[in-house]
Amino acid sequence: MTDRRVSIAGVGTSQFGRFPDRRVEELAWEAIIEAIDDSGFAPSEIDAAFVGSVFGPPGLANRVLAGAGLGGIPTFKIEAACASGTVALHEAQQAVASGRYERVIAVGVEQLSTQFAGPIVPELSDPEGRAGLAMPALYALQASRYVQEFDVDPALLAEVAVKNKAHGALNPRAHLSGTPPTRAEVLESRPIAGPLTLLQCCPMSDGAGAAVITAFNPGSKPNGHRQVEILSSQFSSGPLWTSSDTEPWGFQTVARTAARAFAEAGLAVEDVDVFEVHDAFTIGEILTLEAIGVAARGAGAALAPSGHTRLGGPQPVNPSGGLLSRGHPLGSTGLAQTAELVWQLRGEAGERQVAGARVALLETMGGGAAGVDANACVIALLRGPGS
Amino acid sequence: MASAPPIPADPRPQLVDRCIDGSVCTACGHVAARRHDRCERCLGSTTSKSFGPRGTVWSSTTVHLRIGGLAPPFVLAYVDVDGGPRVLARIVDAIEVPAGGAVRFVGDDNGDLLVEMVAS
Repeated sequence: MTDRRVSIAGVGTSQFGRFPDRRVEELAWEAIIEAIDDSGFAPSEIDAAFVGSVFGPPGLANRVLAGAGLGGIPTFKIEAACASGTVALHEAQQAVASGRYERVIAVGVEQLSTQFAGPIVPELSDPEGRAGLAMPALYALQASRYVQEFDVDPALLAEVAVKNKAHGALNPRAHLSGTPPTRAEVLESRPIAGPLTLLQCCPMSDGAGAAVITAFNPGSKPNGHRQVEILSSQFSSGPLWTSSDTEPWGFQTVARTAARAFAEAGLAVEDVDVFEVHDAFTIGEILTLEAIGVAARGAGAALAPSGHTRLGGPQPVNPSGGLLSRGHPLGSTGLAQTAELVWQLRGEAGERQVAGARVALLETMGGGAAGVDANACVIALLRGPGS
Repeated sequence: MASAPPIPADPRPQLVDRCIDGSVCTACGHVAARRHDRCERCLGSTTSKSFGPRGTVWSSTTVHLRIGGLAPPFVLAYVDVDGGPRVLARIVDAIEVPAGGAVRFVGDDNGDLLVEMVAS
């Protein structure tokens, strides 16, 4: 490998919530300005931008950059479902690793409140969307299969929501940051698609995230803090998901991507101190942690109740509150996850700090296209500067 | 006043005589829920093939949301058609069928595949 080592020099996010009265560009500017200030670079030093967003609107990336001191640089717009922002991060990392650019900004932005009155409307040009398969039902089919295949008490799924909402209560930027619900309250919330209830589904949120990517220089302290290194970053799209596949949609793609990310970094899952993973629905976190190897097949549902993945446990997962609390403005999620992990690795995560966090894993998997294992999955391993 | 644009072409699998009107690849054997001139997996040549009418539920869920013209509750299932593809179908009478349960196609509702539970 002749690729250069790559680092995250700065991160930023907007507030997450419902902001239909704000311009979508303003959400992105909030995140970009924080990330650029955090990096210590001037906007004129940024060479290119990768912008992730699912619902746009058209022209959004250029309006965002032109209003944040970044007009005129090569701009790439990425749509990769829930992983749009994470693919933007991956492409920025690849662009710096290969030497194509020196300093790149990855941005994710989404304003769902002005796109949908309720849940995301299924896509009529998709065979399953046309038949009414809304996103909660797509995940509920995974959940229903899981509890039957492994004889799991469906109440255990609710424990993921209890955990992540307890974490989210410590995150002042989260969409849902109030008093966390009890397991009974999660289970008694409105049924959405069996076995998932309302509090096991991420809220419809608006928000943005950004990260400045540059070559790794261990001695560099661009803005008083040392850089977080991207040890590995892997990106896969899913092949066909057919009747010969026994695993739920997405599982094999996450497992394959994780194996490549660990191999590239020369690390194992036991080396990871903190995770941010895709918990758009409770079952998502459980299946992801099994695919990554934190638990064996069928054992992932026991992780949250056992305390393994809670703050204070051996391997905290989604200390930010995850998508279940922070919200899931689709394109922005990957960069919001990135920001949380950078703050964790720099020891700047406040009340939700994972003590001594040195290695972090970022995972986002976007799905929804009929007959495809996953639209996109990115997994990256990050290492902090240490004390 | 301009009229609404046409809705996209119907992408759903279709039934003929209560079986999926699909295709199979002569090179790799991949089974598809639609007719394709070339295999969607390997671009090999295909022949048309009918799958069903019976299948096995991979998973099902009761949906409590109104989706378009579909009033809740309704039950969606991934069905592995015997010897054929995995397709999304709606179970009639909103009955959840456990994974591994047997179903058969009974028709469609405005193009949505409908299955009913059968004693196995």
